[in-house]
Amino acid sequence: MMHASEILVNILRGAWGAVMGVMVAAAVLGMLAQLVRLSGSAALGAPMITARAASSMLGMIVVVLYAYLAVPAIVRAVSSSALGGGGCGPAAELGQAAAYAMAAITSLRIAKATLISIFSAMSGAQTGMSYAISEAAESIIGMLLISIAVPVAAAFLGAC
Amino acid sequence: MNTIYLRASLALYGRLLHHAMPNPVTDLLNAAGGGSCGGSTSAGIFAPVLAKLLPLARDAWGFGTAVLIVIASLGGLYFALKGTAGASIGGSGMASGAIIGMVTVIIVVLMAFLLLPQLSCLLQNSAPAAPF
Repeated sequence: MMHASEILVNILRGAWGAVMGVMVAAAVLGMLAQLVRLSGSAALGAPMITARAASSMLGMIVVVLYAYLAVPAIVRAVSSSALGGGGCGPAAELGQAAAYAMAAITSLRIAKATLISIFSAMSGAQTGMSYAISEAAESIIGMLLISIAVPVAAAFLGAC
Repeated sequence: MNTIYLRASLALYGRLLHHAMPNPVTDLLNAAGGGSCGGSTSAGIFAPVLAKLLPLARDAWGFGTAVLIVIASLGGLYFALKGTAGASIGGSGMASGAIIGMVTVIIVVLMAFLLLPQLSCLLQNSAPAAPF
């Protein structure tokens, strides 16, 4: 079971690296797009558009910092608490493997939401960051609920 | 003045575009084998997907910088015209506004050419490993 989980997690680890690579490219291109907008508005003498473009650039940096600093910390904190779940025998092993895979899937979901928020920040949309945070909260709550379900099911079936 | 500005800006932007400006997206593309930033992207089985996506991003970077140069050149030319007109009719506010605007445009272009590649290198080098 752990072997199968390892294979899945290795694939998800590669996906994490790919998402991070695309995220850097998207952030740099988004900032370049905002700079083009900024230079155009500065040349035309439009202070409102200039300020909006500058704040979009700063927002993009904040989203990338959130992805770089907050997402790994959140996933580590949640997975360390979920991996120590109860249960015994095969149910415990199953729960541990499932929690391990779920941590990987959760972190990828959060990274994907952050990537979407970068794309929306690139176009100057406002809802991206809130979407990323709500997606993170949803993933964490789902992961915690599922990690509770395995020991409860084991106790219900009389395994422990 | 406008002719001098036009020649000087074309020479400056051409030099920046062809010699001095690094391409952060190309660096990212090369990062799988250790690009000029020294970062590495371990995409695993998704590496072929990245290899197809990142050339598109590189082309978009080239297009974006070219558009930026055109817009900045036109904006600088506009400010040069405005400054010339202001100076010829004795409008000191107009002339100073034009100078400030031109300096702003130059700062924005320098941000694109100097700040963005460094920021990109910083992001590539500090990309977090998978937390699982």
